[in-house]
Amino acid sequence: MTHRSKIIKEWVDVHVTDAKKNFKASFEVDKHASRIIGICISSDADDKLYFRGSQRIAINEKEIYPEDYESKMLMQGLNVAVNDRIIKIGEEMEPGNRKVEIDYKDSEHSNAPFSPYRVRLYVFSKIDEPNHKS
Amino acid sequence: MSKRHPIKQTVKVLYITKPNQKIRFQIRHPENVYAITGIAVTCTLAAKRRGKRKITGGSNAGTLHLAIAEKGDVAFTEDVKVETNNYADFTEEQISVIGISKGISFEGKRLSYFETHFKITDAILEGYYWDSFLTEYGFFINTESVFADAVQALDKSLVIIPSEEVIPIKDSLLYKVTVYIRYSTIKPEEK
Repeated sequence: MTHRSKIIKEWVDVHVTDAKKNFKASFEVDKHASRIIGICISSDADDKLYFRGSQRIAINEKEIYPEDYESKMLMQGLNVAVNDRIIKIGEEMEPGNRKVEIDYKDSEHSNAPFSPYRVRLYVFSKIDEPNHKS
Repeated sequence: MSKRHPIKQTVKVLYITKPNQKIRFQIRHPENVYAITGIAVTCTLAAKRRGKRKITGGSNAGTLHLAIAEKGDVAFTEDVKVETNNYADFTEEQISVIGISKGISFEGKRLSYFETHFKITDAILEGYYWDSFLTEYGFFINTESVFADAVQALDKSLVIIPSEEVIPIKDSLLYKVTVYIRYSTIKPEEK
């Protein structure tokens, strides 16, 4: 019997509708996920996320990134290879209660004037499924 | 079995509001950490977007030092830089242009940590930040006094005493510096 690992990519959206405010969102990772590998963050307005954003991220009620952790530290552009776009969270993590929370904070910046935008947090997790070889 | 998460992070935000500002700060290490494995510093100062005015001259925002408390051993020093490019994927912007040329590696970036392995022996890390950006760009010329000097050069008998007015620094020039410390919670023998 061998084990085949699949990586799944789930996400949660935060809709930033007001300037200089905090917005929360959460979701539960897939029930088949056995390990959480990493995260990444993106937006429909990269400039705003880059200049204005910071967030706290917690998985299974453990704080992975503390408050004021800037979004630009978790972003990447098209020049980063697709398979390198996972920001690994140290060693793979057990999902526990499977809850992923993001508390996003918008701050003023002169290079990116406010207009409503959407922030998307991706969570990469691994599904171990037994694969019987005949 | 509950497994301890191997990485912890702390964030320290410094708000720079005055020219030549010197800030002393302390970073208290979290509990149960063994070593500092990464340090990153970001700055909210950024040059204007492409096509608009860019900040010319010096690109330094200031200097940051991190040292072991009461020992003065500098563990980390960095010239904090003003960002010179905005976040926009060059490839996206140039999608219709044939032959994408230089600049590709400078945009669409991903920020990362300075990798290190600095064993923690004290509970606190001391830090020191010295602004140089507002020192250079935060002051505005008092046109009245310049005008007074010019008039006096033409007519020595004329004495003009300029009124002293404090001109506030523009909000857009105020900035913050964020220091990130990444820790490992696992001793090498535990790995």
